[in-house]
Amino acid sequence: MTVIHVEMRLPLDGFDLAVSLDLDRPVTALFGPSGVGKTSLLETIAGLRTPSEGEIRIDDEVLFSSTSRRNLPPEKRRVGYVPQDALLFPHLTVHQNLRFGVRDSAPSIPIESVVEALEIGHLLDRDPGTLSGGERQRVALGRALVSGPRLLLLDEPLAALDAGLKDRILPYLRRVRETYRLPAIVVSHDVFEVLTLSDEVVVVDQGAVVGRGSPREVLTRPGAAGGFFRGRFENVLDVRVVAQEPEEGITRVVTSNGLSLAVPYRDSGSESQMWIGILADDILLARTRPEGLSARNILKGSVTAIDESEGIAMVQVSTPDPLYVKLTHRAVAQLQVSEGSAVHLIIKTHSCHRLGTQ
Amino acid sequence: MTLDLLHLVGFTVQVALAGVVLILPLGVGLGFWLARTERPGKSLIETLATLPLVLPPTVVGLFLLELFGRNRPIGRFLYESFGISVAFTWRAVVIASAVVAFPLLVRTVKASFEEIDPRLEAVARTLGKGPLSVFVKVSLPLAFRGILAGTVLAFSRALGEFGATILVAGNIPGETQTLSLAIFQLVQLGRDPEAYRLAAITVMIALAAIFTAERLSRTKRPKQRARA
Repeated sequence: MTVIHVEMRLPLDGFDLAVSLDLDRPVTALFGPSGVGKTSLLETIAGLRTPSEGEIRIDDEVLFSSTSRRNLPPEKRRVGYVPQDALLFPHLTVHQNLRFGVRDSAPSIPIESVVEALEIGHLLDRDPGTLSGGERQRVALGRALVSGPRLLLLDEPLAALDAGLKDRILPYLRRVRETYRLPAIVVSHDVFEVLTLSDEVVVVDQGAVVGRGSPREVLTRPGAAGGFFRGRFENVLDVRVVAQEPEEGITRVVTSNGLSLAVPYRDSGSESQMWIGILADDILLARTRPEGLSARNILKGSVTAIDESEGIAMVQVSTPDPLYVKLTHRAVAQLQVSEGSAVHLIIKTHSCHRLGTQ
Repeated sequence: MTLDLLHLVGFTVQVALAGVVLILPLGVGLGFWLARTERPGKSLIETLATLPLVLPPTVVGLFLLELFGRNRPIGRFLYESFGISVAFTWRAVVIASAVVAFPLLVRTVKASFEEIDPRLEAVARTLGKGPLSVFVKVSLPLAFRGILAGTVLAFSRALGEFGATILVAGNIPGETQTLSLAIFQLVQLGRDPEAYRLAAITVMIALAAIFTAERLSRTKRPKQRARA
């Protein structure tokens, strides 16, 4: 397996991007809020920015080293970079854009193979300006692939797309992952994308690595991602569909731990498995079982941990699946919630977002 | 003074074209460099390149005379080494138009390169193309319209060049006289109707230049700027 060694310091606006990482999993996700240096990190690996110090290697080949004064230019790095806004060449057709990446010297993936995998054959004669966001992303990905990279850098492949379109590019990303088996670093702040695409998550905040782990670990525990999730943590559940009730407007799902939920009905054919997201802000907590509520999900559980800082408390409740509830410090005090307290969680049907299918 | 109209028009267009061709490579190169570099010396070079635009052309002419006169450093060197005279020949006309047109070319070209997202060039580098290849395959084609516009602007300026030319090349009918110099002479001699006729011809040449440029730029595919 390829090992990517990145150890660098790069001064940015207001803070330094300083990381030291050895990445050896097939797909690594860089996760974190925007403006913390994730894109700069990709650009540095691609050779588009020069760090003030450090060393960057792919296996044994040194791409950059401040001690041995080596700085391989981007065209010699064989690192495929797919920027967030695709950046197709506007004066070339799609086919010419793809051909632009073909190298004479390095082993590369044939254009035909890429065109087939990404299903862009019907777009070849088009101008980039006439493509949709998802099509542009696919062409940019194809252009990077035919240049025969040893490493793929994807900057928020889903960012330019609205929620409905996400489902359409993800399968291609997964197919690329399976077909070409290239190591990749993906910048993302999309939970579902990270869950389904990556093998390891590195959480970045203010230029530093603040957390690292498997996607499940990082995404299901607010603590694993440093302070990032304090603002907006989403509980992610892997569920199985047990019943469709269109006349009721709900779909009944259950987790492997037996937690049963009513989520918004959506005609999804024979789909039996999906990911559900519930924001920690969207869950109400009660000490006694409430009556006469419109909310369809009232779950019994017990508090297993309370993490408080800056007036905000993340309360972990075992239902038995761990769910995090965001409360103010004042609410925790008034409700007299502590570890071991028996509580009820109240979740509206429509607070359960369908993130996608595996 | 008798007018050989055909020769006059031909000569004027030729020297203006020659002047533009002379400055095109340097103008495009410098325009690109100014659009992309952040070096400290940049503003000094930019100021120097703009100078002929803000100086009175007569001052430019005097300066050129200082350089290219038969007894001046460059002029003497050219004459003694190659037997080439510059001052008061057609060559001086070309040089004068080139120098006054240069700032217009550089500024237009620079603006057109600045409009290109430098990240397009960066992505091209990651796709295995060196800086020169990226310039030829990405930057130049994307700036094509701007470079064309700058060339037409520079040509028009060269066409009407007067002040610097009359100082460094004189106003010798049949040798260094261009349309604008001839118009000046005719007015001085009180032959206004002939001057107006030449003025009309000058206007037509300028219009033809702009029209040609429009046609040329339209043969390129219309460009959508890809922005997410």
